[in-house]
Amino acid sequence: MQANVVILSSQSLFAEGIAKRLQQTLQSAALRVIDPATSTAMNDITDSAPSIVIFDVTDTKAASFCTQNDLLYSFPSLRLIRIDPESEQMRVLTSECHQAQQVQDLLDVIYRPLYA
Amino acid sequence: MRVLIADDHSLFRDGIVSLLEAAEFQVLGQVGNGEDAISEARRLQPQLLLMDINMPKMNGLEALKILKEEMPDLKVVILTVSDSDDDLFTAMDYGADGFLLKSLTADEFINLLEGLRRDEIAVTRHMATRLLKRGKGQRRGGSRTGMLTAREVELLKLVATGLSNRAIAQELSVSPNTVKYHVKNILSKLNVQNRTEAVAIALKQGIISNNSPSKTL
Repeated sequence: MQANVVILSSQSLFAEGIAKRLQQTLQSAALRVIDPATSTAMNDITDSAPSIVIFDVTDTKAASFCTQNDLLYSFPSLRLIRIDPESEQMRVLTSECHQAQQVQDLLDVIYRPLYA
Repeated sequence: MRVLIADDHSLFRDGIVSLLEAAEFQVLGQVGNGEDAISEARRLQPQLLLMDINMPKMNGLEALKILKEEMPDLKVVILTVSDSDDDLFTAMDYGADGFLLKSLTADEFINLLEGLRRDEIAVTRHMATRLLKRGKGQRRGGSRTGMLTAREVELLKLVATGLSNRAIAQELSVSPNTVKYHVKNILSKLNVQNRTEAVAIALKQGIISNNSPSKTL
């Protein structure tokens, strides 16, 4: 499965280093580094049709960009990976969307394994 | 070039290793704090240490100061997000061979590191401008000795007593090469040609006195 990965970063060395590392493993992945400070950032992300967006929470420009829910609402099945280098953890947010017409719809989501 | 990396963010280190290896630098190891940077530099004897400033246990500037006194031939480049004048000037005073921001592109970063092989200082034009302006300001102010580190002042006092490099090395329990390195830095910072001129400036500015015995240092 093709994963379109966007690294959103204004800290070039971090982003380019991570990109280089990921390219060694994700040969088929379309990987793109986008600087959130540029005026075309949102268009560039849209053009990439990402399934994954990665950013560093200590990179204030990228973090403020990604705290906008626009990204999650704009791309179905997007996973937003927030890396916190201080705690060496990452938090994964998803934009997955389900219908919610009956209680069973809720139960389906509740009982569904997190990483199906 | 054999490289050691000191940064407390392991993911960042991983990325830097990839960039360096792609540019055919040999990465000997990675550490997450200043104390480990010192011990691993002693053990691995790298040619270049890339070091962050803000790290636990001991920050990069303290580690830089200690390492440069002990291993003057080791090239140390500070790699940081800090754009402050204080950090830049302190790093250069402690003998850093470069000061680079993490916002550089990979190409700029690698090019500046390549320059170290030609004995160039790894700083961007913007950083170089700040350093030159600071140098100009200090010359206008007249206090060139203010640029010296405490260790360099200590050594200059011994130079003033007429001791040779070898004797100073014994007095300070360091190698003659370390003394030679410090003397070279002192001459460069004071913009003088020889030890006599350096001592004359230090005497004139009250950094040392004619009757200050070296044993009191």
